[in-house]
Amino acid sequence: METLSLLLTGIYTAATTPTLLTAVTMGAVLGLLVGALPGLGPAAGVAIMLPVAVGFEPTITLALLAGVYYGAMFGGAVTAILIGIPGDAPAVMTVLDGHPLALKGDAGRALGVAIYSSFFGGLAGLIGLTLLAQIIARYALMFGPAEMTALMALSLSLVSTLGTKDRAKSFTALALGLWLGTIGLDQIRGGPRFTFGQMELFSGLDFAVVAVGMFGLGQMLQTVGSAPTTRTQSASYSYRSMMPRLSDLWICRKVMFMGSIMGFIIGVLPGVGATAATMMSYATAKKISKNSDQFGHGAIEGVAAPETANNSASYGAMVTLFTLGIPASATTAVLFAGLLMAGLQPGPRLFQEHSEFVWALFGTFYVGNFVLVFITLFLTPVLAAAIFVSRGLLFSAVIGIVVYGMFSIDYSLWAVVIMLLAGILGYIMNLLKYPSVPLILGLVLGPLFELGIRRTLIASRGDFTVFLDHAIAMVVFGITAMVVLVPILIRKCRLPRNEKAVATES
Amino acid sequence: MRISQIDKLFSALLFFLGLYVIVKGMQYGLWIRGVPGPGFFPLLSGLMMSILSSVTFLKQIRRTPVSAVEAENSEIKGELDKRTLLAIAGVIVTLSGFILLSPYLGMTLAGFFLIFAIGLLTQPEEQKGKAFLVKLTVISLGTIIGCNLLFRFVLGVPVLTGPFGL
Repeated sequence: METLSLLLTGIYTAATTPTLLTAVTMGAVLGLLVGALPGLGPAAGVAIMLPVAVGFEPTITLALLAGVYYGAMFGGAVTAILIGIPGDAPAVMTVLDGHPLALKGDAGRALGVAIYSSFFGGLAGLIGLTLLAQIIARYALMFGPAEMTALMALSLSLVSTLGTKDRAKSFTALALGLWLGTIGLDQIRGGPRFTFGQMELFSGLDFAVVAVGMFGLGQMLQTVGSAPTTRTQSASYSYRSMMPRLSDLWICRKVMFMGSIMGFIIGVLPGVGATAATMMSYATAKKISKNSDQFGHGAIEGVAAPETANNSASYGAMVTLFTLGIPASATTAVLFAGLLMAGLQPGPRLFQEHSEFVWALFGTFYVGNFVLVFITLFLTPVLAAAIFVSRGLLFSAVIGIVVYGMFSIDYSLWAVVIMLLAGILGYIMNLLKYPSVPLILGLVLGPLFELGIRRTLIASRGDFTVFLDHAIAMVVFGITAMVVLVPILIRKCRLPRNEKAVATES
Repeated sequence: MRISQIDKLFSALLFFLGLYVIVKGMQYGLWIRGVPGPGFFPLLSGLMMSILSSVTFLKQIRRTPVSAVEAENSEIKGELDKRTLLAIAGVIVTLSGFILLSPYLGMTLAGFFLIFAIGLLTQPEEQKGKAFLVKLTVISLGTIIGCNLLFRFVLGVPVLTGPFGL
C-alpha cells in the first residue's frame, strides 16, 4: 500500500512538472532516433547524452537518460519492420516477421503490434521493477561489506560468463577493466597507483568519459569500416492501420505475457541483455504458438514476442542498479555513472535517503512509457527516413556535441584525450570480439569490489575465512564459483566425447 | 592487415601489460601489517590479464578451437582494408588536432574544423557531392552554434576561447 501511494505521488509529480515532462519527452524522442539509426545503440545514445544531461537537476538528468534508453528500445522496431534494417541489436528478431508482414502490405498492423507490445512489455517490466525494487532494497540494507563483496563478485563473473562466446576474452576484458579501476589514489592508504606522474589521473579515470569513448566513439569507428545503409525494399503504411486491433492483441496475448516475464527475468541477470531476451522470447513464442509454421514468414506473434521482451528487459536491468548499486548491462552502467555524477550513490540507501527522487524517477518511467506510444505513432515517418541521414552529417554533429560534453565534465581537454584513447580501445575490442561490457563493469565495480575486500580483511585482520562466517556471502561465493567453474567442467567432459565421435566417424 | 594478426598482437600486448601490472603491484606492497596493501588488487587483475591473454595468444597460434561452435563464433576472420584504416586514422588524427589546437584557436574554431573534417572522413567516397559539402558546412556551423549556446550560455561551461573571443 505504501509502495502504491509513493508510486502514485511519483507519477503525479512526473506528469504535472513541466521540466520533467519535457525531459521525458526529449529523452524519448532522442531515444527513438538512436534506436532507429543503425550504428548507435542504447548504450552509445545514453553515453553521448550523459555530459549534456548532467548539467541539470538529478531527476531531470536521469529522466532524460532513461528516456533515451527505453525510447531506443521502441525505435529499433520501426526501421526493422519498414525497411528490414534493425536500428539496434534487440530489434534483430523483429525483422524476421515484421518485415515480411510489411512486404505483404501489413506494415501498419506490424508497427501497431510492435508499439503496443512494447508498451505492454515496458509496463510489465515497470511493475516488476516497482515491486521488486522496494523488497530487494529493504533486504539489501541488511547486507554488510562481505555480502556486498560477494554480490559484486557474482555480478562480475555473470557478466563475463553469460551472453559471451569466448570466455577467455571476456575475463581478459574484465581484468583490464579491474586494472583501469585501480588507476588513481589508493582508496585506503592514499598513495598514487598507475598515474604515470600525471596529476589528472590522481582522481582516477572518469567512468563516464571511458563509456562515451568505448560506446560512442568506438561504435562510430566501427561503423566507418562498414558499408553504408542503402535503400532496400521499403513498405508503406497509414496512421489508421497502426491503430490497435483487438483481434491481434488477442492472438498475441500469450506471447506478450510470456515475453514480458521472460524479458524481465533475463534483464535482471547481469550481462545477458535485451538481445538474448528477444531471442529466447521469440523461440518460446514459436514453440507455444498454433501458427509456428508462419514464424519467419510474417507471423504477428513473431513481432509481439521480441518487442515485449526487450522493453521488459530494459526495466529488469534497472533492478540491481537501483537496489544494489550493481549495473546489469552496458546501458545501466552508463546510467550508474549518471547517478554518480548527479551526486547520488545507487544502492539500497537511495530508497531511504532520496526516496522522493526514486519515486519521481519511477513516475517518469511510467509517464514516459505511456507518452512513447503517441510519440512513436506520430514520429514513425521521421524514424523511417532517419536511417538514410548521411553518415558524415550524423557523425560530425555527434562528435561536436561529444567533445563539448566531455570538456564540460571537468573543464579540461584531458577528458577528450581519455575519450579518444577509450574509443580506440573500444574499436579494437569490437574488431577482435572482446566484449566491452565486462571492461566497463570492471571499471565501475572494481574500486567498490577492492574496497569491499580490503575493508572486510582489515576488519578481520587479514583472515580470509571472514567471508565464510557470513551465510549469505558464502552462498553467493559458492554460486560465483559454480558460474565460473561449471562451464569449464562441462567443456572438459564434452571434449573427450567429441574426440571419440570424430574417431568413430573417421 | 589480417585481423587474426592484430588479435595476436593485442593479446601479446595485454600479456605484457599484465606483467607490468603485476610488477608494479608488488612494488606498491601486497601485504602490509597483516592486511592487503595497495598492490594486492592490481596483482590479481594483472595475473588474470596475463594468464588469459596468453590463452588467447596460444589459441590464435595453434588455431585449434575447442569446439565447432567456438570456431564459428570466436575465430577472427577477415582483413582491415587500407581505406578503412585510413578513415579511422584520419578520425583519430583530427580529434588529436582538435585537442592540440583548441587552447590556441579556441573551441569554436577548432570545433568547426573538427566537425567538418569528421564529416568528410566518415562519408562514403561515392556520396561526397557538392550538395553534401553544403549540408556539411551548414551542419558544422549549426552544431558549433548550438553547442556554444547550450554549454557556454545555458550550462555556464567556460569553453576555451581563441581569437575574437570565439
